[in-house]
Amino acid sequence: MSDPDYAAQQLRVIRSLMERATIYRSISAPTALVAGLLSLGGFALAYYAKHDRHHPLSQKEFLIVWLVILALTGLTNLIFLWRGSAQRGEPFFSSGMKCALMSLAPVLLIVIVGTCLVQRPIQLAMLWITFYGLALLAMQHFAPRSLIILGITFLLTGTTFLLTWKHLFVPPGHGEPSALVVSGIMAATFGGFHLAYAAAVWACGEDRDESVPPTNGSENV
Amino acid sequence: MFDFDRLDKLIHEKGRLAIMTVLAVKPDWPFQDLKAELKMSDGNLVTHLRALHQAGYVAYRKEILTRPQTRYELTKRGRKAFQDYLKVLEEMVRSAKS
Repeated sequence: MSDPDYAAQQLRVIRSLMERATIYRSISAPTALVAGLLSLGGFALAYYAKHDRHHPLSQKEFLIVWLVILALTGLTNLIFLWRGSAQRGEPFFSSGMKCALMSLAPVLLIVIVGTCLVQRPIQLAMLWITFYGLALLAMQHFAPRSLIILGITFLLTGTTFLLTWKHLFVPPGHGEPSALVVSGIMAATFGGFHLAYAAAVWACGEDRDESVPPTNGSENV
Repeated sequence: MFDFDRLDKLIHEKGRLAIMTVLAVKPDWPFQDLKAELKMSDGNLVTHLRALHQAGYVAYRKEILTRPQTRYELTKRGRKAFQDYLKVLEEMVRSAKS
């Protein structure tokens, strides 16, 4: 191997080590499981409203249901992140978390503004799905591969829905899909995708390296 | 031909280079996290850390949270040495391209 080849290889090794060391999983598998189950619960609520209450979710109720699900998921995530940082002996606002928050901030701002402006459930769903994908991809430089794949999946799904929702979800003679159908879309994406993500993370053992418990070792210099 | 003597021999060793790299990325590493990240044995890691510490590249502090823990970080001198090492490697690659 020539000197430049050797140097390039060394630099690649250094780069890959640096990338691996900066990985920060902003959404743990347990959080994804909770998010998935809560989203399915959201759909169940919409189903109950339509078939048992005989009064489908209104636009306001739809918004409230999904904001509550978001709040509960966010709280769960904070708890798991706090537990993880405590196990590793790191501060809660670690460098990884600061990076994640900085990357998320612009997308989050647009989503908050969009949620205030948009009222129809289908528009909200597409806004949330697309921008959630963008938010995950905003962290791609330090996110594990599974989270990037999740982001791409959300982004592609959201974009596809943006282009095709009138053909896919609007029954003939109707202006827009019902709250139940939109809740189904939310359950399929935020529910189904998160459950698949949690299963993939556990199946691949991706979460093991991040939760190495501290043990007493001969650690003196 | 490139002058290999310009490379810091202490950092150039594979294990120590890995330690310097991860310490350069994140400021403060508990021993057990370093061990898990680099997949090194206790003995191997301790030996390399001792060598880097003696060279003034790595500092450590002991603390007791729920259990005793030693945390490691790069010193200014260590960071400078690592940056110089990278510069030399980059020069090698650039000289081949030009």
